[in-house]
Amino acid sequence: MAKKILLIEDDLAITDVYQIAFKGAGFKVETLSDGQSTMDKVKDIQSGKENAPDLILLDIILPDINGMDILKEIKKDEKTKNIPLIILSNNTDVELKRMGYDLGNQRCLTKSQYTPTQLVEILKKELK
Amino acid sequence: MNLFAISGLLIGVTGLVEALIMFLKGRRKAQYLWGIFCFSVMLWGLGSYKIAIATEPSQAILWWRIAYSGVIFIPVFLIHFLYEFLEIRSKLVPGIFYILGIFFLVTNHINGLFIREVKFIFNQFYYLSFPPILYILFVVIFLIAVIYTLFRLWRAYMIERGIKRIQLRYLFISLFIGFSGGATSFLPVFKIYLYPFLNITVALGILIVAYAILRYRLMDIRIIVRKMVIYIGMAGLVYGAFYLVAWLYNIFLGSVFSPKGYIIGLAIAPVFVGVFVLVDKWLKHFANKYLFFSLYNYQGTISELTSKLNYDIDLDKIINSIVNTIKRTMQLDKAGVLLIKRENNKIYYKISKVIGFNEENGISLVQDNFLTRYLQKIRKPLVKEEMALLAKDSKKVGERKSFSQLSQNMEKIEASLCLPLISRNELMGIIVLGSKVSGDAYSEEDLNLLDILSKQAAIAIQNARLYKEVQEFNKTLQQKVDEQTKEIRKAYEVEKKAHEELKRLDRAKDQFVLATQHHLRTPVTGMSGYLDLIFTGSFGKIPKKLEGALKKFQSATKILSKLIDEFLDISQLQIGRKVVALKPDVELAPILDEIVEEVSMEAETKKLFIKLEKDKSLPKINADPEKLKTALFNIVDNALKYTTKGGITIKVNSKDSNILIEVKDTGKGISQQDLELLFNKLFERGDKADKFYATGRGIGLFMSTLIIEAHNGKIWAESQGQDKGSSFFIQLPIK
Repeated sequence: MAKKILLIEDDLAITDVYQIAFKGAGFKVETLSDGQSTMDKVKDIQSGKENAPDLILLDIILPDINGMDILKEIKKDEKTKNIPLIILSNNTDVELKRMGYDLGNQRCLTKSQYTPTQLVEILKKELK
Repeated sequence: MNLFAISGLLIGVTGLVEALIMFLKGRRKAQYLWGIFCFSVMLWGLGSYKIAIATEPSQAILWWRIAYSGVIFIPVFLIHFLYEFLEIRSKLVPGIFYILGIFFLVTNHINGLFIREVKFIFNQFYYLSFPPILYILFVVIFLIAVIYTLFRLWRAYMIERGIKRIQLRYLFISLFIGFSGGATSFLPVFKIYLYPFLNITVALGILIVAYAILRYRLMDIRIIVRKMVIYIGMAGLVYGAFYLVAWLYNIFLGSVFSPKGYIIGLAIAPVFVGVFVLVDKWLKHFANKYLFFSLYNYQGTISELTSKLNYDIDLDKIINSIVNTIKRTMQLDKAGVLLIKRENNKIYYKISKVIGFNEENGISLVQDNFLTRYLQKIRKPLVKEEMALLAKDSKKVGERKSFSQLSQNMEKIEASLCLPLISRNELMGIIVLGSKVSGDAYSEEDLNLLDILSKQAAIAIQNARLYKEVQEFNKTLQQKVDEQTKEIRKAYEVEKKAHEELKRLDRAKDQFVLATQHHLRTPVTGMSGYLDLIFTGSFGKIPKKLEGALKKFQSATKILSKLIDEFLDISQLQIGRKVVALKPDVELAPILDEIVEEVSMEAETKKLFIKLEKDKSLPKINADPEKLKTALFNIVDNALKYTTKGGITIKVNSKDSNILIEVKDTGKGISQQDLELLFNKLFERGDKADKFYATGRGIGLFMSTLIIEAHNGKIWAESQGQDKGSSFFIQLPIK
């Protein structure tokens, strides 16, 4: 059964590239491009309205809600806190990383430093 | 002894005492003239006493002549005294009187010309019988002189003011009473047989003058009458008591010198001692009470003011106390204190407290430099009424004018007295006093009291001034401190604002850097993502024509991405942010694997080998995996860049508490000189930075150094020299 990946990314080009790469690798991909719809999604999963994805790729910089708030929301609920999660960001600010680490030793990746192929490899390892 | 004798004796004694006072204590002509006038009166008194007790007509005539030697000069000295006292400049009238006096004196001693014979009257004494024409002439002149004198005194009394007026009043009264009674002595001569007892008023007149001398400083004599009153009183008492005892002894014991007398004497003696002590006290009290008319308690006033002055240190309060105490005690209409302020050798007067005086006029009075100098010199109260006398005494014309001017000024503001306030030998102010409400003049005792009070006041004022100076100094100091504090606070506020502004700018810069990271990397991520998809065949096979171009495109995108990363890292460093966030339990092996994988393509292209030799189980470390990867990647990439033959070997092993990574290449090597520069901080050394760029080392190595150091690690390089390859060592702590 194909693993389902929830990709939260506001940049259309990157979303497109990742979608192609992930689908090409056999993953099911659901994309969200803003904070509010992500929050809604997380709450739906927490309330059991929707099934949880196998992995979440979360962009930290979103147009409306700070990705860190989304991460906090995910980490506070039992149903969502154990979903594998990789923080994706083009922001290498140390403080952001530290917050990520503090909220469950998350892996933080700088998008620009990984090709879609490399990212697929990382996802495969994570989902093993 | 008859009444005529008693009155004569009284006149003689009082006249003598007053004459002695004048001669002993007098300083001025008027005083001596009054003294000699009293002496003449005394001659009359004592003469008439001897006349009254004379038993023979010839004896009586002799004493009449002696007594008249005095009487003849009574009008002469009276007129001369009048002229001197009223400061009438003409010498003609006194001169005429002197001539007449001498004439009568001569005729007095020529038998039958002035005094002819005596008659026994009232069955008591030999009185002059009806006289010759010269005597009648003398009596007329005598009466004219007296009337003229009284007239002049009355006229002067109507014009004068202040103490002079009071003095004139007393002088007039005394002369009027004295001559009214005294003149009756002429009546029996002219067959009007009125017993010549009324001449006792002459003694009364002399006593009135004495009283005026005491109380109103008539003749300006600071006498010792009080003591004299006490001594005379005591002497009289001793004398009286002695005769009383002697009389009683005679009556009851027959003689003083009897055995009983001695025994009683022993008992009487201690009683006398006790009684005399009491009498002495009483007399002093009497003298104080009735001769000086003090309305205040001398000691009480001093101690009251002293305690007030001791209690206060505030200058205004002290001056208030002084002015109020003096004004109340002396019953004055006006009082004021003026303090001297010295600035640049100039003296200014400042009115501190004024009651009753007009302030403007007050200043005009004391701005008189003469007064300042004079008070500084004499250091005693200066009484306005005395100024005329002082002026007269003065031998300098200027001083006389100054006295006159000062007197006028004081007159203008109705001031009667100036008291100097002297402290540390320097005049520091003046207390100016008006007149007594009662109209009385200042007595000797008043002046003594004021002298003491002013000295105390001066000390208190000096203390208060010093205290005020200290206070003002403190105030100034405090003000300066406040000003400085204000300035410091202001500077601090400016600094704070600047600091806040800097912080704000810093935040803005941070935000800019963060935003830049995102905005610069996002399109590059998209570009390199699509290129990766193209090369991994997501869009089908790449047309041959495009393959080369796309590869170049991919290579350029990689370089761009790397430059952006470096640029952003350095920007972050420049704004003082950390670039490393250490995470616990990081495995080093996957990072190294990723690096080798990433560079293997390029190594392959350059036909170089790349080997990774690592221990099977490496301990986990605290690291920022991404940054550590960047640091290690830079070193490996650098080695690849400078190696054209052979390859790169990465050795990793753990030793003690460290992990040591060696990146060894077979490249061109590094000169000793370059080795020294290799890890220097690029951004602090402009010249050397140029060299870095020239050598093509770039900023990658510098970034690696910073990242390794942020991991508490070490980085160094070794090389045997040119073309002998080089080794980079990275040491990382395990925990």
